[in-house]
Amino acid sequence: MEPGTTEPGAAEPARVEPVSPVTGAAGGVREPRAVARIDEFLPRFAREGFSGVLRVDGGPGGAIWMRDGLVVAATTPAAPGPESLLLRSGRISEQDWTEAYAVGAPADRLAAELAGRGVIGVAGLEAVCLAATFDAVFAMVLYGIESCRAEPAGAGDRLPLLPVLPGIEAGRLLRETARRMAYVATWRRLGMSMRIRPVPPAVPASTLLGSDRIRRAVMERANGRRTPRDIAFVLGKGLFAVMSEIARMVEEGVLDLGAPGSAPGGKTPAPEPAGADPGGPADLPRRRPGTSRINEVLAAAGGGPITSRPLLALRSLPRQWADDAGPAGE
Amino acid sequence: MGRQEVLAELKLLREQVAGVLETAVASVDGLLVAADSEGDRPEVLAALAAASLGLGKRTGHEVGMGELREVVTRCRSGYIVVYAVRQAALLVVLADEGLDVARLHVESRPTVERLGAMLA
Repeated sequence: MEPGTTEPGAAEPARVEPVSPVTGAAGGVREPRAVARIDEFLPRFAREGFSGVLRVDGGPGGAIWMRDGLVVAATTPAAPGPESLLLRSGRISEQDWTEAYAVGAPADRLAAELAGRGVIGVAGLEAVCLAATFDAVFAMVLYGIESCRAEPAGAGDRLPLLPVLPGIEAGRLLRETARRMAYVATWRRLGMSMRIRPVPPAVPASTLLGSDRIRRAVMERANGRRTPRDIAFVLGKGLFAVMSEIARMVEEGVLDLGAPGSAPGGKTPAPEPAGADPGGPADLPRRRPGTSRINEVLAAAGGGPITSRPLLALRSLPRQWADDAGPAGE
Repeated sequence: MGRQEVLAELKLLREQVAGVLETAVASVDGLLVAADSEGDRPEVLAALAAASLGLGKRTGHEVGMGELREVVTRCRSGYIVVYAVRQAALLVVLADEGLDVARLHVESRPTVERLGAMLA
């Protein structure tokens, strides 16, 4: 298999530079053990006309689905998929999604069902799926790829719910990934990495006033705990788009990098009074009725005290603490 | 046991597994030990996690499926996963929908073991 064969898209293999080892992260973060080069293995599978899934091990790794040598989908925990992009951004309502999913997903026609309901156009949906695939491959490369193993498609295998059909040429995907990694390289001088947890500066910069929505949205979610990836999920925006915006804001001084690896926000309860209740497992706090405030919550939700309620009724609790990451509503 | 040690374990887990947003350790009867949390009321999360762990154990026992591994709750925008920490405590993890659940199960094993040793 010689490089530079005449397949379209593979004709100009793009150089995708592997990431350097993670910097600024706290001890214990897994470093990539070995680096597999996507710009070597992906063109090879493309030339072979591979159909199946490439399981990618890495930072968080992910999966790349191919059909007849074209990439039809890519998923990774490091970047939001089409569902997150559509729902978290508020582009599609939860109800529309649920209804379309119930009808379309079992028959592998979720995209047609969404478009048929008029909740999103065919072109708009394709653009979202395409963007999610590019973003996922970028994220896998950014976080580091250790190895890749191929599972050829078998009978009954299913593609992810919203694939890009007929698929993306490997060369195009790699060129775009290389372009994005070149941006990442230029951000290093700012101290930018995927591990940062940005915070607004102590003195808010007035230049934010009147700026566009994604900036404001990023600023509001940058709380010193969230990485760019976390912010991308909260907003339902691509990882690369969010990182680009953060880099610009850091450069302009309207956002600080935050302290890497030391996330604030940890809470510990007040120490128990010493000798309050001997016995039981050492060092575990003892239950004192009322301290969890569970009854307040249940009362606020229109229920009685917990002792008189069946457990299943707990689902009527308001969602107040679980996440502040609801739909961005934009 | 030092609460700071527990908190350090929780922060480490969040940094190791993409998608993990918040974590808390509680006793099995729902009292908070420590939380790596941005929510206002980790005590309530601790109490509910204890209830769901108990419910999971009971349900597993009732249908004869043996020892509980963990309780996984999946919602629109994420997961709530509760692990038993030995006999007397639990670890609850909140994560967004990008979480690789299988990976969390693997990566959280050493955390659960170390927490168990700290709380023993």
